[in-house]
Order: sequence, then C-alpha cells, then structure tokens
Amino acid sequence: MTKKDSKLRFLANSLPVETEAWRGSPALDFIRRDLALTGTKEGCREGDCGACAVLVGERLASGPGQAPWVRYRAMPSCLLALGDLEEAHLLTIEGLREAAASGITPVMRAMLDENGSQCGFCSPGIVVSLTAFLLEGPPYSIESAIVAVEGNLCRCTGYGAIKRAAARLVAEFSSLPTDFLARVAELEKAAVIPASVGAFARGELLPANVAAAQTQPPGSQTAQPAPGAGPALVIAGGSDFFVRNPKPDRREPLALLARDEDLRGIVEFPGGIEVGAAVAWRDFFSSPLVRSCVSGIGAFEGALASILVRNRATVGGNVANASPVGDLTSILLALAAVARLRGPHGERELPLERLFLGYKKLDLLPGEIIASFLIGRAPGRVFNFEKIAKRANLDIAAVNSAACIELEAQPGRPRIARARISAGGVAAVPLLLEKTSRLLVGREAEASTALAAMRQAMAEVSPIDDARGSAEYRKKILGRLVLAHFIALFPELEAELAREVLA
Amino acid sequence: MPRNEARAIGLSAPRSDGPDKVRGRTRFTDDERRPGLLHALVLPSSQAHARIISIDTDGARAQGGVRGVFTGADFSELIGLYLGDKPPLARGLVRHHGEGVAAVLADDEDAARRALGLIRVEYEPLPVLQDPRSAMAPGAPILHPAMASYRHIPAILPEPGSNVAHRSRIRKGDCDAAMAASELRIRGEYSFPPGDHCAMEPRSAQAEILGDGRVLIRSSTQSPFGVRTLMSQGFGIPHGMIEVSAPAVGGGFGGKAGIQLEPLAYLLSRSAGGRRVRLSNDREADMLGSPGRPGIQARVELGARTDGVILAADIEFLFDSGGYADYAVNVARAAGYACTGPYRIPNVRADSLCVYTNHPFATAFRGFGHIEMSFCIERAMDALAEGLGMDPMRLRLINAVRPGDTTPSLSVLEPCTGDLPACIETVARRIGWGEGPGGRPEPGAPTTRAKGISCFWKAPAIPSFTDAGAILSFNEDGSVKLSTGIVELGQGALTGLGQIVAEALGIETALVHVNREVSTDRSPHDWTTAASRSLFMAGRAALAAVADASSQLKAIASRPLRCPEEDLEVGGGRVYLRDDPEIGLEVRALALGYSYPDGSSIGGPVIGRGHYIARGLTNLDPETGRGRPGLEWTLGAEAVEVELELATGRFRVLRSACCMDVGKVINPALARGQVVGAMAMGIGFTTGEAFIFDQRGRVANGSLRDYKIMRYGQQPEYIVDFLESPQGDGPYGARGLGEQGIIGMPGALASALSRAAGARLDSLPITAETLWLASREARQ
Repeated sequence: MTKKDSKLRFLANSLPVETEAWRGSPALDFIRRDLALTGTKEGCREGDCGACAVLVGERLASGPGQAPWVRYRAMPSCLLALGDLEEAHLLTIEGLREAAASGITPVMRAMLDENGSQCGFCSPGIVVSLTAFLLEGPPYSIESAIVAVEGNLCRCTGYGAIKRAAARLVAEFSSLPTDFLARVAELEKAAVIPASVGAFARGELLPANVAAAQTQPPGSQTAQPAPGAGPALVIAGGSDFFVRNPKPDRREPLALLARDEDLRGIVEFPGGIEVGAAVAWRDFFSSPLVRSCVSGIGAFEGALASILVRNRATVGGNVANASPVGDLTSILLALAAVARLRGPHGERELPLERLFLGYKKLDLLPGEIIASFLIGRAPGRVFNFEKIAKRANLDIAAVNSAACIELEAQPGRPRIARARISAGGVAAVPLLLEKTSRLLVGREAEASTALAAMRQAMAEVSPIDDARGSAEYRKKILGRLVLAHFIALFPELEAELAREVLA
Repeated sequence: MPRNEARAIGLSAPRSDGPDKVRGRTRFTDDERRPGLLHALVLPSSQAHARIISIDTDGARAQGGVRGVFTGADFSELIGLYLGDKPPLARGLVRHHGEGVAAVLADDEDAARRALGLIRVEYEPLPVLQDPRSAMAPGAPILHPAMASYRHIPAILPEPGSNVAHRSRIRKGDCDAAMAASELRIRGEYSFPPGDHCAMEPRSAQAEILGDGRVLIRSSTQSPFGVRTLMSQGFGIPHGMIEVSAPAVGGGFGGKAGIQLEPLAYLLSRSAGGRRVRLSNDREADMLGSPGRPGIQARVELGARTDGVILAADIEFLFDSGGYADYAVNVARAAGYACTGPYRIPNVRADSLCVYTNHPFATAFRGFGHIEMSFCIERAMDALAEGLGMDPMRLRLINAVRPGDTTPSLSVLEPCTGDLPACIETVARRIGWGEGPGGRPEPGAPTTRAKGISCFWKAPAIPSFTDAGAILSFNEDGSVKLSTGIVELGQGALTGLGQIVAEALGIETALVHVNREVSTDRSPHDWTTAASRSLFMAGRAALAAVADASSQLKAIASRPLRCPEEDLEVGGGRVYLRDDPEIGLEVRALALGYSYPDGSSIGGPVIGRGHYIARGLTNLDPETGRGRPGLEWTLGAEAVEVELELATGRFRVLRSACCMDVGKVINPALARGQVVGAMAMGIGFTTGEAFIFDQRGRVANGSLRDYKIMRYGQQPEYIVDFLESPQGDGPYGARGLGEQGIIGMPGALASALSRAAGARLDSLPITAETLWLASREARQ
C-alpha cells in the first residue's frame, strides 16, 4: 500500500527533487548516479567505512499539540533507503560547500590545516560527520567529537591528524547555543552550514508540494504491509538489510518502517515503557524514559556501533535480523522485553526469548511485523552489558552478554531476588541463560555466586567456531563476561574475583 | 644551482591537492561516468580450487540490457608484469576464492547485476593448498602445470613442475662453518596469513578503443606506464597506441601497481566494438578478486657469540602468493636481498621463495618484502636476546649496520647511509626503554604493560633501469608547470615535488603547479609510483629540469643584458647578474620569449627537460644473490608500549615511537603524516588484518565488517623523529620514507605483547583471543 502519488520528494542540498525511483534502493546510488553528486563515496556498502556519509534533516513530531521540529543527523547513505528521504533534507558534501564562498568551510579548513586528508577518499565523509557533530549541539568535547567521527574509516592518517582537526573545532565552536535554530543561525554565519539548513528548519525551503509537512510529519503515510498482501520486503533502518542486499532488486510490495511514527515512539504505560520497533538506537539510548526505566543503560551506547550506524539501526531491526549476536537483542532479552507483533490478523505479544526459533528464524506469521517492545520497570534492578569483539571498538561482537539483576536489601550483602543473564554469539539464536539466571535467585551478591554463575553459563552453551572466534574462546569469554557483570555491578568483588580468574 | 630567494625545503607547505579533497571535488576514477558507458560485473568463484565443469550463461544472455556474457574461454591471453600466469577470467580451473569466472556487460549496473545472478557454474572441487609449505610437499597438486611456457623477466626464476614461482638465493660467507662456530644458536618459525590493502577507494577502470585502434584506459592505478606495458605485453598492442590516464588515487599501498581491472575492461570493450566499459570493484571484489598482500611461512636460525655478536643467519622465507604471482615474485626477491634486517651478519644463507597456493593472489604491499622479513627477523632477534640473557635493545645496538658494512647481497653500505644506532637510541629514549614494568605479569594483577623494540631497513625493489622524467615550463604569470609521471595517492609527492622546484627556482611553492593527473601520452615516462621513490627520483628529474630551464633562461637573458650566460643567476623569479643583482630581468619576461622595446622578439617557450635513472644498480646473481639491488637504504627503529588485560586478552597500544634517518625532510607535516599512517597500518597488520580461511580455502572475512582495520580510539600516541644524514644522490639529501614506518611495527608489537603475555608470539595476527590463549598457557 504505497502513496497514491508514488513520487518521492525531498530536498537535495538547496534543490527540490522529485523522483519515481524505487524507494527500496540505497540512497547512495541515487546520490552518485541520478543526482551526480560524486563527492559522496562508496567504500564498503556495509556502513562500516563512512565514506558515503550524508546529513539528513527531517521534520519530526513532538508530543500532541506541539509543533514539529527538525533534526539533522549524519548517516551512511549505503544503509539509507531512498524512500526514507521522503520530505527530508539531504545534505551532501556538495551542499556543505555552498556554506562558504571559497567552498572551504571551517570544518574543511580544520581538516586541511591539521593534515587530516591524504588520499582524500574518506575526507568528504569525515567532513559530513564533523559538521553533524557541530550541528547536533553542545556540550562539545574532544571525546564527543571522536565519537562523532568514529564511524569513518581512514586508511592513510592513523587518525592522529583527524583527532587534531576535531579538537580544533571543539575549541573554535565550544560556545554554540543550545537552541537549535539559534545554533543553525550561528553555524550559517560561520559558514559551517549552508543557508538551506536554516531555510528547511524554518519551513521556508521545502520539497515541492509538501506544504502539508509543516504541520504533519510524513512518517505515518509511509507504506505499511497491507493486511493479507503476503510477504512484503520490510526494511527498518536498513543497517542489516542493505548489508545482506547491497543492491536490492526492485520488489513489491515494499514496507519502509524507519520513518513510521507509529513505530518509533517511546511511551510509558503503567509498570513500564513501550519502545517502538523503528526507534533508532541513538534515540533508544538517549530517551529519558529508557534511561529512567533501565538505570545506567546510556553508558553502553558507544559499545554497540558507530554513531553513523546508530543513527540508522533500529531496535526492532536488530531483533528481526535474528543474528545470534545482536547487541540490542541481548540487552532486550536481559530486560525481559515482550515483543508486540502486528499482522493481518491482529496483534499478539510474545516474550522475546520465544521469538527465536532457530538460526535467523523467527516466530513471525506471514505479514506480521514487530511493532514494539514492552519493558517493565523493576525497582532495585541493576543493569550491565559486556561484549568482546576482535577490534576494541565498534565491532560485531564475538560474544556479548547483558545482565539484569533485581536486588533485595537485607542485613549484610544484598540478596538477588530475580536475575536475567543473556548471551549472544554462543548459539544459533540469541540466548537467555535460563539456568544461570535461575541459579542466581536467592543468592547473595558475592564472589562465590559470581563464580557459580560463570561455571553455569559456560556449561549452558555450546558455541561454534567461526571467523569471529573459536568455540572454546567464546565459551571461556562468556564465563569472563558473566564475571565482568558482577565486577561492574558490585565493584567490591573485583579483587577477589580477579584472584580467582588469574589463579 | 641558482641562488634561492624563497625557501621551500623543510617547510610544511600545505598539500596542493588538499582543498579539493576536503570539499569532495577531487574526482576519482569512478566519479567520472560518461553517457553511453557500458557496465561490467564479474562473477566471483565460490570455490578456492576447482575444475569448472560448465558455465551456463543462457539465462544471463537473455536478460534485457545485457550486451554480452563472457567466460575464460573467450579470452586466450595470459597477463602478468613479471610472470605472465594469469588468465583475465578463470579458464577451466579456479585457483582461488573470488577469482572471476564470468563477466557480464550491460547497459546499466542493475541489468548486469540481474544477469550475473542467472549464471550457473558447476564446479568439481579439488584439494586446496592452504600454505606454501604444503604446496611444496611431494605430491601436492601443481597449480600451474604450464609454468614452463609462461613469459617472465630474467630477474624472476620460476621452477616449472613445482609450485615455486620464484626463488631468490643469498649466499654470503660460509654459513655452515660460522653456525658451527657459534656459541649460541636459536631457531624459530614465523608465519602470518595473507591479507588485503583495504585502500579506501576500491579499484576502478574504464577502457575504450577508438576507431583507429587507439586504446584509452582510465584507472585507479599507481602505475600508468606499468599498465601500458602490461597491456602491450598481454595483448600485443604497440605502446604508442595505448593511453593510460590516472587521476587521483584513493590510496594504493602497493595494491594498485600490479594486475587490476584494466586488462579485463579492455577485453570487454574489444568484445563490444570498442565502446567505453566501466569495471569497478565493490569492497568484496576488491578484497578477493583483485590482489592482496602475501602471507609468509619462515624459518630463521641465528648463530651468535655469547657477547651478542651475530655470526651467521640461515633463513628460509616462503611467501604465500596465492593463485597467481603478480608482484609477489618480486616481493620474495626483495625479502631475499634484505633478509637479515639491518644487522651486520657476515655469513648468510637464505632462500626466499614465492609459492603458489589456493589463496587470493598477492601483490606489492607497503614495505614490499621488508615488512614480512622484518617480522621474522625481529622475532628471532628477541629469541636470541632471551637466549643470551641480553637486553633486546642492546643486542640490536651491537649488531646494527654501519656505513661500510655489506648487505646480504654483498653491496656495500655507502658512507652516506643513515645512522641506525642513533635511531635505536632515540626510540629507546622516547619510549622510556628500561623504565617501568618490563614484561612478566605480576601475579594477581589484572593488567600488565610491556614494551618492544625493533629495527628496520628498506631498499626499493626496483628494476635496475628505473627511471623518472620531468618537464618544466612557464606561464605568463611567472608561475611554472612541472609535469612528471608520479601519481598522487595521498602520499603528498606532488606537494613535495613542488617544494623541490620552488626551492631550486627560489620562488613560492604556490607558484609551482604540478600535474595532478598522469597521462602516458602527455606525461614524461616514469616507472611506477611505488617503492618510496617518487620524491627521490622524480625530485632528481625535477632538479635537472630546473637546471635545464635555467640555462635556457640565461641564454635568452644574456642577449638583452649583454653579458656572458655564466655571469647570470636564476632566482626569485628573476634572471640577474651574480655580481650586481640589481641588474636583471623578470623570468616572466623571458620564459615565453623576450621582446625588445621595438617589438622584435627572441627565444620562445622555455621547456626544461629533466631525467633520472637509478644509479649503479645491477641484477642479482641467481646462485649467490650477489649484486646491487637497492638505490638507497632507509634505516630506522621503532618501539611500542602496550597494556594487556590478562583475563580477556584485550589490549591497547599505548604509545609508539619511530625514528628513521630520512636524509632530509622536505615537508615535515606531510612526512610525519606518512610515517604515522604507516605505523597505524603496521598496528593493524599485527593485530587483526589477515584473511581467515575455512577448510575449503574460502575467505571467511572478506568484507570490512569482518576484516578489521584500525579505527579511532585504537590509535596510540605517535612519536616520530627524523634524523637527517644526507643521502648523497637524493634531492637535497632526501631518501624514501613513505612505506618505512610500517616495517618495524609487527616486530616491535609482537615483542611487547609477547612480553606482556609471558609467551612467545611468532604468528600473526595477534588478537585478544590469541593473547588470552597464550597468557593462559604461560600461566599454567
């Protein structure tokens, strides 16, 4: 069920675009081929290199009765379905050039002066990411600037020069206002961003024929799987879909979920929160509701993926991809999330662990999609997430694990009332370690408990060898991750556990 | 030499190509798409070693928009610069995973992709050769039974009937006697699997054949003249009928010098009536279908006196070249003549072999034989230090080469060779050698820190006739144009060459315009942009061009100035009297011809010609290796400090130091950029960058998701020092520095991590998993 008028409209830099191009193709191809904007580079088509990063501005709904607002984010255009640009503002390196009469913006200048560009192939993507960093607003720090560019690979510089460029921008722009429109005005004055950003943000410059967008966000009009229409090609954020289908062929019907307002809300219900399946990881981790429901969860955002990927990847997509080692899936398993499924025959709810039937196989009926996840509140719950990957940062895990432990105060050490430990990468499906979780109930949070949990976890799984790690390593590492949970949640156990581990 | 008015050498002139790069205006090969372009896609083999039983292309041919579907049977040629062993598409036999077995040519990419999906290939899998040693075992399948008939250059010595594509022999002194006389002998085996360059720009080529038969190639290549030769040799086209043009290249690291996409793009164009054909790799094709870097299996035995003086080295390097030889044969040759590392060892026996396996084929990689060699030798040096109970830094200092020493190929290190002991002492001081925790994990501590040190040397593995040309001409505004055959890959050579010319002419660097795009029709001949030789050799050619232009300017100026040419100097944009600089003329008034006040004119455009050819290089004796292979030896040392988390094997490289003697730093910022980038690549090489193969020889990590190159946050503190012992024949004393920073990193890092884990890590890559296993075993 697509829109009546099948034309896709968006703003590309300062020009409106209208196209009948297939919405399911990656925006990268349209940008390079149809728009001939070749400053955006293709490096990997997996969202791993950032050479194709673009800025996307979109108009978002706020609460009921509130005006829509505008937000810009950098994302890899190889993971961005063209249709997700509906009524959005696409800003490429060519658009950024419009900001300065010389064609050199202060971000480009910093890269130049610090020798952050050698072969130059990755440079446009890095400029886009650093510009997004300034546009997204304070507080600015060197650390957050590095987070902003860590999705961009560079093969020439060794990163020192790019880090200096980032540090320079932080120093130069540390006093930008927190108010979005005021910041946009200042960045425009400083020739960092072109006038089209402010014009789009103020609603003055819009894709043709979409005046309605000023009052009504576009998402809810996006295609939904039609009841009874058979299996649709469903794309959420695209961060897994386009990796498996780098250049998908035209297929119908197509359902794009990432901009669907019905699927990307985070709302409160008595006893918990409901997280829409199309909520981007970035929004999940920064949501005050999520942070208040799961204390401490915000700290783990950076471990999952680069900011470019987190701007695309969705909560539901990670589950639907059914990878045995999905980081967010592991987290949701430990949080006892319940999946709410929506299909031609209505809605049903399923505890997440029961959704996985086998390797990459989900208990979804034809036409059914994951609509949201219900996460209950639990007073006294503490949360931790651990992963081991081949690379220290931003890697697909070899093994991951999340832990939710509910504690009861009692004289002496607290007692574990309930526990859920998950494990990814140790079986064909993401696992809830049921025996390990049960074993913990009623025990005190002490070293012997942690060691018993470690042994149980290792006994409970039977991983396989693959390119990300051997079976033996995965098993041992899972045991270590279980101990790491205890050390993170109960730091007083560290010395004792370290002795045990290294003995 | 003219008097210099403006100084350029030693200053960090901004990159001339920088502004277009940061604003996304640099146009790489694949950014250019003319209307009417045909698009080609290649079907990669799913097998590593298999007989092709049949290829069904009917479905693909029937697709709309498809102009042709081709298999190996359509093309009879064999290609290869050193050894012509590779069919453009697999012919009857697949020798590695990812090898092209069929190609589709279509009006657009989507049609080509659809057609590709309809090709059905039936394979009969054959036993796979997964490492050079098994490939040399009796009874191993012979991957190139027709080797005897392959065309090859004299320096390459294939051994038909075996899987050995090349063997270099080094025989210096009496190895057996010296080994017997040694008080301590250590033996070690060292290895790592092949991997990929992962330049950010995937390879891309376009080919077209004009009506008169002229062949136009546009390609992401480090070697436009090499591509021309490859095409000429492979397809019998006269050199003059081929134009290869190379725009800016998005990183090469050696991977864009050898066999790329040009031959197949040409053949497809030939099959389509000469229409322009685009053939571009996606990342997976770039990693598996185009060449990567070789792996190695090595044995090293060192014999020494108890005072640490090394007497003998007995070495075997087996390079894993994969299914085809490409540049890997010359990589093995380079590792041979440099086999001992920068240590004075009087008695050496070394065999360095390039061996076919069923891995993706290998070509040049930054360091070119020296990084592979260095890892093995530095690990052996550490083992020797341990055996002797001697500080590893001291052992290296004792044995470091000095001017007058001979290399394994018995060429003498010239008096102007750099100062290796000073490099060792500098990095030791910078890393705090001997200070702080020195290795062995303390019982019960969750983390441990350790340091490692290594030395390196490198001489470019270039043909003895390696050349560079330069043409200098002038513009009306007084600026000059320098044209060379050097491709800008990110190394900054164009900026450095501009500085050399600016210094020689005494003008601002900004007034020197160096050609950004190389064309074999318009640019002077240049061997290849590789081997860290661009600035050295093209720099010398540019200086010669300046001298030639200057003498022409003086000749013209001497007539209106009415003075002997010998009394004139060129500098600061003027030609003037040496003894009375006030009297002179502007270069701009002379360079396009001088006009007298009455309008009559003399001269005409001044065109400076410059050339340079490697001096005194000789081929190596096939039996002893004796000869002079290297233009210059760049010497240096590196050191790192690491921190290891014992329970998980996770580690960080905290600091890394490099000191090398580069003769003269032309541009400090760009030089540092090269060295730091190389060090980072060396860290990646050591800790993650390698192919993982399944039982059938298929690559399990052939994408950037699974093949791990370094990211932000993993980079250590980089400490870079340069020494400047001038190179006698280098421009302003400079010698090559682009690759060298990578060479010592695997050795230094493996050394530090071994010490941290309390284990001997002699294979790469060293991952958290290998460290965890090693440190666990060490504790047990």
